[in-house]
Amino acid sequence: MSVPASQAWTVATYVVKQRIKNRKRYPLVLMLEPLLRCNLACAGCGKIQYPAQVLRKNMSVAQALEAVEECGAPVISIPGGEPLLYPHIGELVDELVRRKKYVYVCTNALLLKQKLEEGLFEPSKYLSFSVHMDGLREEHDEAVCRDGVYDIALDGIREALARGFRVTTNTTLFDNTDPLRVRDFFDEMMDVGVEGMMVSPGYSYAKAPDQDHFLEREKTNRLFSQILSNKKRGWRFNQSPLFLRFLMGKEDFECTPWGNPLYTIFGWQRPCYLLQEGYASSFQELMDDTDWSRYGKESGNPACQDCMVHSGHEPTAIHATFTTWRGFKRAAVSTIGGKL
Amino acid sequence: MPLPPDGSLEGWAPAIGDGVSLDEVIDAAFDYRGNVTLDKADGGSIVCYVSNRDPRPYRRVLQYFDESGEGPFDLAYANVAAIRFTGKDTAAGNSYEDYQRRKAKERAREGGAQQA
Repeated sequence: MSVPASQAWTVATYVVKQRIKNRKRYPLVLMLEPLLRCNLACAGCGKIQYPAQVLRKNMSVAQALEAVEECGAPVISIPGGEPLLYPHIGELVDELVRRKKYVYVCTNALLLKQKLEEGLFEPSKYLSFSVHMDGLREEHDEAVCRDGVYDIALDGIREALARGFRVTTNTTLFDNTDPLRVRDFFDEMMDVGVEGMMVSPGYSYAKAPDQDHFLEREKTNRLFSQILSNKKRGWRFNQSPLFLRFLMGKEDFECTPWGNPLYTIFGWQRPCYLLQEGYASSFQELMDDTDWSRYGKESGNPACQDCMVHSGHEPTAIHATFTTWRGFKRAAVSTIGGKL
Repeated sequence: MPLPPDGSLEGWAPAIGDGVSLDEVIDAAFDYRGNVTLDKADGGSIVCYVSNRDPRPYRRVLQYFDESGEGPFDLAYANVAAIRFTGKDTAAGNSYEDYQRRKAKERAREGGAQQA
């Protein structure tokens, strides 16, 4: 695991405090989408298909901060849309860093170099750029449906690293993935010098244009076993080892749909980051008025049967790490021994 | 009029009560990734994006953003006379297969240019 000790400590103490308070459901990462427009139109993305007046909308910084305060999660992830298109992104990140929130700006990095040169951000242990990279050049450009994006993103990553920023990558894998090419991609990202990598199987958004390439559960286990079974010592992941073991089929975790709640210009998305069944007007309403028994694999909900996405299962893995001896021991052995 | 079988709601103008209920049409409008025209029971029409709905008996309200992007505004189910799916379905017609076909054509064109 490549998360800095201060961040791991913040998350661990937060989880233990929730446990002491006997809080059954608590958020770990707030997914904050201050806009929905993007400068790419990737085939696997169901997020950006909206009419023009919706795509033009920007959440106010005050509204975003109110959501952050109400939610209380120690980590804030800012996806979108493309967050670097958000006109207030510098101000929003400043405010979050001032509140000592660990912030991940999830960007395709097309504008990263430009924004860094404009001086929009200051390096901080609280700020990471999480750059969307779906594989080596050929695979990434194919996934984002535009040639040349991989090279631009790589330039952005190098610029951010040279300026002292924390940089991670996030990679979504589909069923046409070649495991050997993914291993080569991990080598390349480590050579570039990113702090850590995040991987997740794709989720079949009902609105995503590409419906044929999403992974089913067994295929997910097989693919991630092929990629990670003989994990190289030098590979660093910015996520829980238990989540990676879950992807490989070595752990059985149920979804924690409230673990990564999503706040957008429409409100608090019900029930989770992936399913879009409606919106609550407050975080409390989301938590209190959602029938959580209807979600997760055990619920029998067909939409949840093949989902192994990080937003629902990483919180379960984190909870298991910091609240059970078995989970803690497994995570420690994987972290120290380097094997999953 | 039942829901269209081909999955595309663009251009659909259902008569509520004629094989499809108000709740079903509002659900379809919420799921639709384009603008709709809401005909109100108390008169007038609004072109808007339906961003949310709450069908619970004590709420029965939908929320929308108007054409200028202002919103969300509330509208009671009782004040919805009809919904017409008048805006472009932004989720349709941009498939991965279309992208692959474009790429194949591009590669063929590049190959042809190199041979020439």
